[in-house]
Amino acid sequence: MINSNSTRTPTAKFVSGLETADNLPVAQNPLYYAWRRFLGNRGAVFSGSILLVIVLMAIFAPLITPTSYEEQKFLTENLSFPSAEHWFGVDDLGRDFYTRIVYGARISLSIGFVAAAFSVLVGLPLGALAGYYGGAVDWFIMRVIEIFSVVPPLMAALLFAALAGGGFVSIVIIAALFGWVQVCLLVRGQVMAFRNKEFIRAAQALGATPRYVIYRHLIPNSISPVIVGFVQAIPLAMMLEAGLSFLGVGIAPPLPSWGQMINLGIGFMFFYWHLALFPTLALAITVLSTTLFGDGLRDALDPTLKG
Amino acid sequence: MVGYVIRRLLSVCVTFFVVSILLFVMMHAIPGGPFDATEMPLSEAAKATIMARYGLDQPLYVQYLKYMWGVLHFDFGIPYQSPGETVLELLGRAWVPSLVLGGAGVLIGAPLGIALGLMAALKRNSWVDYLASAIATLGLTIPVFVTSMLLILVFAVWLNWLPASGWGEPRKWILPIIAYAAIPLATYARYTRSAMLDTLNKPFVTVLRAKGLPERKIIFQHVLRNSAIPMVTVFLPMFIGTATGSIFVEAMFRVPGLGAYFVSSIVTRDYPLEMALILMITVMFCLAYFLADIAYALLNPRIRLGGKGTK
Amino acid sequence: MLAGEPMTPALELRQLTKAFELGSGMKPLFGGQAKKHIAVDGVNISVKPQTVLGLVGESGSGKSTCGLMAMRLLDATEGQILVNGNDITNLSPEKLKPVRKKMQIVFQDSYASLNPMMTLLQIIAEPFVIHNLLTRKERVEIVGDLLEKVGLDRSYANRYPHELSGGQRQRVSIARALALKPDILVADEPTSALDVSVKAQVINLLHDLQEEMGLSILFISHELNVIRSLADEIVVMYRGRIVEQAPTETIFQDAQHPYTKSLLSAIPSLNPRERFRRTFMSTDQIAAEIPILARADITFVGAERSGPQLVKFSDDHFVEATIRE
Repeated sequence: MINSNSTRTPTAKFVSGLETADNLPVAQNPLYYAWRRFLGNRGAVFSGSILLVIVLMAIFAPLITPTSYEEQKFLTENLSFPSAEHWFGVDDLGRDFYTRIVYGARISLSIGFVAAAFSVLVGLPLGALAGYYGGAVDWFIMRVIEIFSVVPPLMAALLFAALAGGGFVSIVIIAALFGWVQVCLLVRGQVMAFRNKEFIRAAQALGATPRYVIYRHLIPNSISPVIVGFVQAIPLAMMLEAGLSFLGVGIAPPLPSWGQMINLGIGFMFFYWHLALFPTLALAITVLSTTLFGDGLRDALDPTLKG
Repeated sequence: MVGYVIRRLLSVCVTFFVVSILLFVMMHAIPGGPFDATEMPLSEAAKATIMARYGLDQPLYVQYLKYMWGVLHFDFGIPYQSPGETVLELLGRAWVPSLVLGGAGVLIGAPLGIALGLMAALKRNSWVDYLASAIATLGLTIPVFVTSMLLILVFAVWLNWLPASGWGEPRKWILPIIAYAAIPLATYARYTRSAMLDTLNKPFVTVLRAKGLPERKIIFQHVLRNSAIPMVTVFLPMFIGTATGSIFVEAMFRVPGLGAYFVSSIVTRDYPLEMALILMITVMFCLAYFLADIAYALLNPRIRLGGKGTK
Repeated sequence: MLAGEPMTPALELRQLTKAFELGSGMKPLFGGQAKKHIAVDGVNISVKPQTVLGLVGESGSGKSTCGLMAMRLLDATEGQILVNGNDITNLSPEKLKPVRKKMQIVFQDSYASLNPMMTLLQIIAEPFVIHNLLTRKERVEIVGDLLEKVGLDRSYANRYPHELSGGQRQRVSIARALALKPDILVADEPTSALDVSVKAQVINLLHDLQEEMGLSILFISHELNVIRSLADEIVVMYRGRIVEQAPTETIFQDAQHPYTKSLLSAIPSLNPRERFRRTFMSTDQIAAEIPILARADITFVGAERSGPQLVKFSDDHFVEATIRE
């Protein structure tokens, strides 16, 4: 109907002209605002800084410790309490305890990060697929998750560890096996929430393939849950490792693991309690700061991800 | 509604069977059997006899079927480490310490947690609130065996008030119970606080206040009820999880409960005991989640009355 | 309007039906029949080239579902969708892709229509990305042109959706829809979420664009006054069926169906004398007041059925009526 106006009621025209964007404040990606929110959360920032210190100590371990963690140099001063020379004392095999604790950080943190990375590697695609396709795919993945949820994780982990014989790699794999579920659920939730949003439909209306939609739209919008899932998986993995080492099926000596050291410490605790105290504190502080940091991140990125 | 229950039941059963198969296979995949040559040197003939006696010489799927048949009749076999009794009897014995300590932990921790959460919500942003939130956070984030360790160090080693281990007398129970109570306390404190705050902000509470209802009535009769649903549904899995004994707490406090026996069964490759323990606990969790789902469906009028998918 | 010469409709929906199954899908396993909700029931719509067809109805009438099916974003249970005479109902995604360049859609929720993590440049350029057209530089150039075309300055290209107002976001959706120069535009309540003054801007924009680009538009809305200023022909839907269809002014001056009359009475008016004419009718009332027409006065649309059905009773005017002999 190019020429006929007679069947339509004319409306008043608004001459608004072209509006410029130049007087708007500088454009920012939504993630920038999340960072600002995080900075406002003092507890989270504090935990984050502590975590950073621990990470740095782990990385620069050789530079800040007097000896290596396995040298039994101080046998004559066995089991001595903390002193100016040995900040955390000496353990039962004559090793400088401070050194062992610091290197223990390396073990814990590396297992934590690597296992968390694997959890994301498995959980992210499964969650995206379950969320996008729904139906049978989702049903199947949820069944698998259900299986992982009813078996008490520690017992199963113990079983696996006994099967695999302990050691760094198997602990990482076991930790990843129990961490992926949380990541998968978070991603799935986010994808499902976005799945029917109009901008997805618009892309589909343009002829986008499912693969394109998942990669280009759904996953980038799922960054928040992925980050949160990753950071929350780290303390879980660390605790799992500590627990398994405590029970004797994790990291074996002479590699220092806090869990392993706690186990040892119990035997001496009534007199040489420093052997039990320091690994316990180290583990508690590390897990605590990682968890609080993760919670802070989650609150900054998207408070609706709670639980 | 009935359809929902049946579907959940079927789902739970299927999950259980799949898990049992996986566990069974895995367990028998652990290299080295209970009668390994290195641990207990036996002659070939003796070994063969024992294997036959315990049915270990048959193909895996036959063993599995025989085992599951027994399970359905509550026959879990005989533990290798204690052939004088059945697995069931041993577990019955072993469960008592776990149940007492774990159960007490939950039954003491949960109400305390609720009370804490309530106080925190009512005196929002006061020192009570911050303290309660801090306790709740600590309880949830510090791993249980760290808590146990700290409890032992402080109360048993340094202050020497309480014994550190053993199970015999009630005095020995105090520390483990505190360790067990941490998580329920923290969970309920946190949950109660946030649920209460949510509800207290809702318009209907303002209306009740405007009507002149005394504050205490508002809290107990209206607000609490609204927040109750998830609290109830989360209780059962939590109770099961704690009452079956934490491997760590039992190891630290030398309590002869389910957790401790599980560890020893792994070390001694005691298949019947291992299998029975994991299966039992899995079943209990399955049941707990199933009941929780049903309870939630019953309590949530939307699911009970509406049914899904009404457009 | 050119009479006589039958033109191939730009967009045609034939006997389009959509039934949603309710419940959890377990009943069929046990031999039962799942309960169905029929959202769209045998709807026939045809948009003549370069005209605007207004699809009117309240929430739940099935009009948005029609729009989604027309765009093949939702699968039809029965019926056909034809674009420029070609049946696209069952085309595979690969075959459908080139067709998609010719038809685009604008949604009601302007915020949800745009990916919050992408800049306007990325959003509007997406059609070119998906179809692999143009170089980067060319895209930047064209996006700038499109922004200007919808009344926004080129400098907006680096902004994010959350920085814009509702009306501006809707213009961006329109710009994106027009990127590939489609023939057909489906507008699903594009102005329903906007303030009155902004509504007017967007409608004017659509009017100008339609004239300039020769678009055929399926304009879905529940606001009759909006439709009045844009549509050449109006189709009224009620509970999944078409109950009346006629050129715009005919509907406003000579509505026959009780539901149409009820909708018309609900249009807000500034004339104080017209204000209290609002009539609300229940389903039964509507059923009771369906026009009854003599068989001699009407022509059937499709095969005759029992009960009320859509019939043609005058030039270009269709209504759902019961037939008496």
